[in-house]
Amino acid sequence: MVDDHPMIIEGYQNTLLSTKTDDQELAIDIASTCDMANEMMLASVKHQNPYDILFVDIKLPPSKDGAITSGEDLAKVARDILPDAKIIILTMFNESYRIHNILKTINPDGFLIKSDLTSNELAKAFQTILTNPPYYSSTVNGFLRQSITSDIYVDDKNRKILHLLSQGVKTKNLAEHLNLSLSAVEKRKKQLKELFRIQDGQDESLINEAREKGFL
Amino acid sequence: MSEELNIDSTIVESNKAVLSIYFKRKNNNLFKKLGRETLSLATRINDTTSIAYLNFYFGAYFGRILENDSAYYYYYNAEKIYNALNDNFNSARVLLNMAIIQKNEKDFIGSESNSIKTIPFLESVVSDSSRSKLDIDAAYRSLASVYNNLAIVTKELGNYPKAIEYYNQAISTQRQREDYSPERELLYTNNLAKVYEESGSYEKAIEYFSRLLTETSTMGKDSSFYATVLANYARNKFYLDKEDEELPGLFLSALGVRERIEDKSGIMRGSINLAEYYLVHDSLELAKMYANKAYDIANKYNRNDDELEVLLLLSKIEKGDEALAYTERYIALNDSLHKAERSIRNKFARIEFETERIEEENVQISRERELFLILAIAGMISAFLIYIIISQRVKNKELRFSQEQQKANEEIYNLMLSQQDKIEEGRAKEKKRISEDLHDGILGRLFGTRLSLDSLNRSSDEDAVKNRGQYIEELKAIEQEIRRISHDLNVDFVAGSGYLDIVKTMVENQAEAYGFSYAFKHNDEIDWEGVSNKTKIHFYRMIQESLQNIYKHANAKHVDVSFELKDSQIFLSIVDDGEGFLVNKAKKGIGLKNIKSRVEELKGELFINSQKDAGTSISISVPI
Repeated sequence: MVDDHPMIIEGYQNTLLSTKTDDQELAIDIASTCDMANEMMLASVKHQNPYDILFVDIKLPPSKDGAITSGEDLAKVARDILPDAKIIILTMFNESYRIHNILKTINPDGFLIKSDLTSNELAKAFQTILTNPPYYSSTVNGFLRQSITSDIYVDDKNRKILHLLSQGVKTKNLAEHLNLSLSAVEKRKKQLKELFRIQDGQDESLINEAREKGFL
Repeated sequence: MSEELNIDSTIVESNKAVLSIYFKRKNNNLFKKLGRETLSLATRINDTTSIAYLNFYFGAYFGRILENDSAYYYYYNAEKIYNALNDNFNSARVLLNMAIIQKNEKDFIGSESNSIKTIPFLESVVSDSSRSKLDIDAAYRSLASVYNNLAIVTKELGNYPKAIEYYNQAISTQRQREDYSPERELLYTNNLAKVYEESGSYEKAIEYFSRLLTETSTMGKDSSFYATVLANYARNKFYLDKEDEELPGLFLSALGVRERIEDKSGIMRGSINLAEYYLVHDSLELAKMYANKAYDIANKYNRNDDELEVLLLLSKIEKGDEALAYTERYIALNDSLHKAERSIRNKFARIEFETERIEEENVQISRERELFLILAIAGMISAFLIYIIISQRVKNKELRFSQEQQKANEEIYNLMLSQQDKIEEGRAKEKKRISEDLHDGILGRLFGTRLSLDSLNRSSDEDAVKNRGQYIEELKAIEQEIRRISHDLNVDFVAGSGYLDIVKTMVENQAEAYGFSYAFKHNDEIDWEGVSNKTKIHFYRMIQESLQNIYKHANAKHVDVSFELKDSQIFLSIVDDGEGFLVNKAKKGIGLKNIKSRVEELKGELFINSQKDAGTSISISVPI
């Protein structure tokens, strides 16, 4: 279990331990930074006792060498070195952009938004993932539902633009975040506004509409 | 001006007519006065013909009153003008008059030269068929006079044959006249005969004279000319044969005619003849009587040549000491006459020379005047240009100054805008930090606590109760955390300090540059966000300018700058510990004026307090 809040790990532990079936043995290792997690994963491989399940939080203090900056990166590394392990992503982030990203890049076996969770649900998720992955929490399901049924297609960069705009990032700074030229950013914004049928051309209206449609 | 010109030339013409009357009537003073006026008028209107004419008249006038050098001067001027006008006729006439004066003053060579000059001019006139009969006649008359003059002059120079030739020419020229004058011919003939006399050809002379006598007697025996001819005839007979029977009868009868008509000069000449006659015939008493008679007239009328002749005679008549006395007087008179002649000759030359020089000087002066005028105009133009340049420079300076003011204002404005940007950035960052704090910190902990409590909910054993208690404590901690963040939100460090930062930075920099210590106080109650940019800029500039003034004049060691809020007015006060100044006298200087105008713009009030060596305080209050 990788999370930088010890309180949360305690929660997980308590929940799992109190809901496990009798024939299950849980051996839990805890890491609070990317470096720690990385080391422990490598060690488990070395000791020929690879982890079966990984609980990974997205928001983590990055590794010292800066190679692993978040839970996402950590999960990618895990896929490399522990190909058989099941990865459960747990995160506070409920923005659809991030959800979309994580699904695409990690394709986790479990994707749980922390605010959705009760201990019951966590237990259920755990058991499901053991036997019959994947398990997504309700927010993620809602996102998937919306993204499949909606006829508005928003590509990754555009999702990022919407996300950053909603964070209050100024348009001129978007270019840096996205590695795009300012004119490219402007073009995409215009596309988005057309896509979401924004009448008054305001960024705020775009954000509101996108949020309503579940893209934010 | 052309009207004036017309009036003036009419005046000149009418004056000329009056002048000729004065001349004829010999009203010398009136002539001279009017002549001078007319001459200057004619000069002013540049009537060259009249100028020449008047000069000619003046020449004649002076010639008549025997001021020969003045006469010569005027004739010379007239001749120059006529020559320039190519008026040959009048040129010649003037030259003739000049020649005659020169002959009278014994400048024979000059006279000969001028006389010869006239001949081609006069000949061109007489051969010019377009000329009027009157003109041609006048030209012949003048030409005859010229030959007469030449004859006299060459005779005096001792060339008798030439003289005779000239007389003959004079006579033949005279005969060509339409208005032939017999008197003139007689006169010329008389003079011709005298040449024969002087050259010693007495018989020839007698021949001419006796013929003349016959012709003259028809004119009347009481004319002075008749007496002259008679006397000449008698004298030549005397020179030919002093025992001639008709003498002294002829002499006496000639003298008698002269005495009757009171011809003084004739009487004198007649007396000389008789004195000579009686001297030769040894009648010394008679000779002396007539000699003295002649001398009296000669002396009285200043007939110098005759006086000489008589003195010589007397020296021969008298004996011993008296004779010597006469001789000496003769020598003395002769010498002084020669001197006078020479000086007159020189005078004529000098008149010509000086006249030319005066003209040169006039040309020079007018050239100088032109130059001066050009320089004056150039000077005025350059002064004007300099004035324009200077006034332009002043205008430029003013413009530059107001531009600089403008730039300074803009700078501050931009400073403030960028400061505002920074404030907003700072705020945004702060917001983000708080948001992150909330999200990462609080939410995470809450979630963990909730999850744990939830799982503990299943069991109710003692352990579970203890654990739950722990988690409840945890919840309390989380509450505090939230409170802290909420409090953080309230404290807005960022607001309002932007403007003051700018001011403080400026005061700090200036104080360091100018070398005095500073203290900057500000009242936190002042809401700088609500204060207009204009006010903020003016405050900024006033502080800046005051600091500069303090540096320039006050020699202070410490400056206090402070903002206070009182009765909804912002008070800016700047206090220094420098030399102080007399407030009334400090009206000059741009610094204070600027501050004043800024305060007026803000509709505020300005208080200046200063004492010598006790420092200065400037206080500005602006309503908000």
